[in-house]
Amino acid sequence: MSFNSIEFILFLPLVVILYYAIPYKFRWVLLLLVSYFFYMFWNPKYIILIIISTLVDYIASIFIEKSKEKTKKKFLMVISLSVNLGLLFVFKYFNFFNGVANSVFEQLTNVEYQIGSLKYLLPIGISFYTFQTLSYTIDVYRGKRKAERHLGYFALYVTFFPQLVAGPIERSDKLIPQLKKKHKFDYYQTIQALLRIAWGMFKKVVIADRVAVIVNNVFGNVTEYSGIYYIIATIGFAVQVYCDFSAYSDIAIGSAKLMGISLMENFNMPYFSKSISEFWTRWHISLASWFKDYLYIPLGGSRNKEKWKTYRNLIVVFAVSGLWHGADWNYILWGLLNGIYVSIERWLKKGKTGALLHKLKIPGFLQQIYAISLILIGFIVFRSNSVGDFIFIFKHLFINNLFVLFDGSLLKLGLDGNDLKLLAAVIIWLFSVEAYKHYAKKETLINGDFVQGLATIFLILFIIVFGFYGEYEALQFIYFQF
Amino acid sequence: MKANNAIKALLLIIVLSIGLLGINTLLYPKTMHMDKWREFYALQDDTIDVLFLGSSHSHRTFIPAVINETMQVDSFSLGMNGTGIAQLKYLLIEANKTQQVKIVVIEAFSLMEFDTERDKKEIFHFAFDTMKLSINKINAIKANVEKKDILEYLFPIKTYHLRWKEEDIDKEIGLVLKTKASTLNPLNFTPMTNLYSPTYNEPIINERFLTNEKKSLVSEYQKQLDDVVAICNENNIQLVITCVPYVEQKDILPYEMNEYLNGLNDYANENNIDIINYSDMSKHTNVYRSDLSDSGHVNLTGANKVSNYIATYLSEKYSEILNECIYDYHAESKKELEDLEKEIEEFELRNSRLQKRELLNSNDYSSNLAYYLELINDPNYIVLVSTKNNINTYVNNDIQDNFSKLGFDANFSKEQEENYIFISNGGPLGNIYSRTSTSKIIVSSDQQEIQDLKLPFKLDMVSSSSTTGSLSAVDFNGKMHSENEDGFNIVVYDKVLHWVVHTAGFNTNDIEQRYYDREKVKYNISQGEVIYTINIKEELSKVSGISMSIPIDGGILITSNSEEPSFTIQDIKGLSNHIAIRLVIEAPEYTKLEVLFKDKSRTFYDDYKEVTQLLFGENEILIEIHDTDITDIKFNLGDLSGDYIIKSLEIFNLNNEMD
Repeated sequence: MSFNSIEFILFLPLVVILYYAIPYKFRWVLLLLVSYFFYMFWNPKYIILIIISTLVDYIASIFIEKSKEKTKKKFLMVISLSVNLGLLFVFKYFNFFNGVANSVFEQLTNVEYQIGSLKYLLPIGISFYTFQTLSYTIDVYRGKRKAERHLGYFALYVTFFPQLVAGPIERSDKLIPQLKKKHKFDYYQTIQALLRIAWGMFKKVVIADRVAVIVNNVFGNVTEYSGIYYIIATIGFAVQVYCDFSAYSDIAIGSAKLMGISLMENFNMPYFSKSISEFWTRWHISLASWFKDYLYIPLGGSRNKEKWKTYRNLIVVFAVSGLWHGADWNYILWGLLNGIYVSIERWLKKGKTGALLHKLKIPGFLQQIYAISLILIGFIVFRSNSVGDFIFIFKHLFINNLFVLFDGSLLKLGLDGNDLKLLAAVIIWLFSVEAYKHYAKKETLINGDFVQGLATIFLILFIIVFGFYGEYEALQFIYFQF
Repeated sequence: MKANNAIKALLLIIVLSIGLLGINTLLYPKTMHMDKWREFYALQDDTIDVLFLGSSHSHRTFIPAVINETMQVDSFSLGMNGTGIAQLKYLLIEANKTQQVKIVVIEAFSLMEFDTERDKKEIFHFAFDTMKLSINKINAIKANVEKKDILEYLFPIKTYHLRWKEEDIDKEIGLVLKTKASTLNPLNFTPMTNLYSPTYNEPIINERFLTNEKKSLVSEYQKQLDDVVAICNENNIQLVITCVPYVEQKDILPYEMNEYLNGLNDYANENNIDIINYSDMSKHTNVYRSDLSDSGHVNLTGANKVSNYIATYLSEKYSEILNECIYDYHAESKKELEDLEKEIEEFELRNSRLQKRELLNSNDYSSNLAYYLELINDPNYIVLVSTKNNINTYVNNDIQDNFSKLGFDANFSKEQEENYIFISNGGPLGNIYSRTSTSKIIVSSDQQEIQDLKLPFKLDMVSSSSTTGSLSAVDFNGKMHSENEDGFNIVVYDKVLHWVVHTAGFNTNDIEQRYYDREKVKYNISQGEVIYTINIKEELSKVSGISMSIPIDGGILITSNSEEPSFTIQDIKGLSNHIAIRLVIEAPEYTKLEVLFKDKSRTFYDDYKEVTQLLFGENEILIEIHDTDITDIKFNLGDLSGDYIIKSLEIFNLNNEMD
């Protein structure tokens, strides 16, 4: 079930009421059942994948913990990795790599390639829960934590519905103890959670879904546009992807908070970053830290005798991160591009150039412009529907058609004048709030539970009226005339 | 939770509820259909004795105030757009919660299916959106809409929230904030005010509708009707099924109203249902085509006639049942009826003006200025005359006389070129302005004399001759209306309709046109030779450009879906230099007909010569064209969607000049 659906709006309060109404010892049962229900609402069959993943990691980690031989531990770890990554590969990456193999094979041999593509839907959230369970087993393997003996709590850790399909990717040592803890209903916390959910819904339903119309239109028909259109659509995409994704985290964090559970922050005003390296500490934080702990460091991290290995590690991590976002060349390229950005920044900071840059004292806003420009270039690659599309875009990006800003052409991108004005206003609103929080170093804009409650209500009403949803095909109401 | 927090939480819930309710009320479309439930809930309990149910045909027909005053009991109409039998049951249950209705009248269109899936969505919104939340409402929604759509109907704000974009939403919201629920009028009636056909005061009765054939309702509908009958029986309600006057219009309304009602006769006898069939309804109500707003809905005068009839019928037949009823909304009904009578008077005046307008537009008066001046001598007209160049040569006594009857006593000089401006607001008894001069005349609303005329628009007029600029201008509020032709240019404005109803140019200097001589019509069509007749049924191939045409009794039916229907006859052989076209056509009201001609000297499409007329209902159009070598004729039928029936088309050679 999707967060921005009426079903979820009915589901969540019901779950929260039940959660506090039933005895503590049954809470994990409730949460597990509703989490499965939440997932199966979308596609009941794929719950099997989650159950397989759960059981494999549950059993493997217990045996890893018990066994004293390193080779046995390693063997079990390999089993866990192969099952989890195997499922991920089959359901997410098989068709992509099969396609690659197909073209390579036919180029080389001239013989017809026999392996057809699989006709599955991508199981929603598979990248998230796979990484979450993997982190747990690896932690047990590394001896960082003990294996969880309670299958129920462990299953709940894998499927806890607020963060099941789009993160934040939680670590077991943080989440499992919270799931086990007896939480009491807290009025103030509830208000804060509701405000957080409303803020997320606002970002998603009012901003992201609205700006998506322009973005989809331009990126869906790249050959019909040029120059300024691409710039608008790319900025639009930056707004969309941030509002969409961070909204999901807001709603997840808010929903968990309703039950007294704190999830980690996933975004920290990323567009105010002064470098790409900083951006990656503020954007999808739970994924970045996962890659750092479970890929970058195992590869050797930055503690290498040979300097080039650090750069190699960075580029590999970012390329894999690109692939994690989607099984296509443009995601890999986007990952590589970010790896190169970060490597260059790292290289520049070293030695003489680093000292020089330090001396120059470049103003913060220039650094922010530098960072956002590179991010936007990356987003063109990320959002393009194909490699051909982004080559086309880069070829036609510098055509001067500024006049389209003033001759009404923007109204032909799918949003009317009212929507555009509203969009401009809410984007300014959003980033003003974020800027205030960023520069004033405050966590919230408003204090006091009652004021926060009123703000939540205001947001709810605002979303109902100005949300981009329910565009009824018969709005013209031809029947009004009779 | 602490008590303090509980109070705060409660307060927040109240604020949220008020906010949601506010949004819902403010953004909800405020049309009469949407207010039906609000009006119903504003009624006092146990006051309504007669309830009307059904589709728009019901709520556009039955006028509560008229019915109440005739029957001396209280009636209410819960008719809503498109309501079908599947919704009626639930409306009746809801009504029974607060009212003890004695007679329910169901309008028979709601027993028939003619709506598309898309229409249905709207219909359910009309029927259920403002119904109070109850088990009945939930049942109604469950029974009517698909499972996946149930939430959409329980929370209809999803459908309407985008109305914040609408232009006048701020004014609408302002109005809602000012209107209290207690001021809602339960006798509200919103008539349809179009004229289906202003000139054809024929009874609508048509043999087609008076058949004795029988048709059964589809079984699903029959079941729904059973439910309604059961509710009526349980609650001791007399059920009456009736129909309202309509005319045949293919594809829009079912033909078989009478067949269905005939088919229900036995069932009605068994179940004590009273059926008023189409024949009785139409015979007794004297509804004419001019009482219809479109092919299926009566307009204000039609609604008045039908309401009077049904009220008389019910009070005579059910006097026993109604005897015990108390007439609660007596004062309101009386007041409402007074207002309504005024409204009907205005409506009829407007209709007569439309008829007059049609008369002006239905003929080409270019060869008959004197007669035209008689026609426009009307107290409801503002007539504006401005001349261009020399008008004098052929102005005869008839023209001179009729100008003076209109209040313009100019002596049209034969000796020298003079300019004339003449304005009459309300004919000879109204306000008159006239000026004659050999130099250019400019007149505008800035002048005191013009202000004294009390015109409802800002006026600028010019009259000038060949030596002073050669211009005739009549501009209202900056918009040009004069034909700017040589001779007299006349603009006629109707003070009731607030429209320019006719503009014409009369070149009284052109001997060929001979406007001056009423007696001498140049050609006589009856003596012409028909050289081209479309045999409507068999020679469809001779006309091109019709995409959808079906031969029907008496013509070709052309159905247009908004694109401009047109047809062309090409390379007509054997035409003389003077021809006439006679076209008999039935078209939707206010269709603009353009007849375009191409002669041998013109090769391009754009060089067609054009004649434009407005059509009303069935028309015989007569067009003469002189001194050309016509090869092609093209007919453009405006841009209205609807049905057109071409009944006949003939082209004449006019050989016999009558002198």
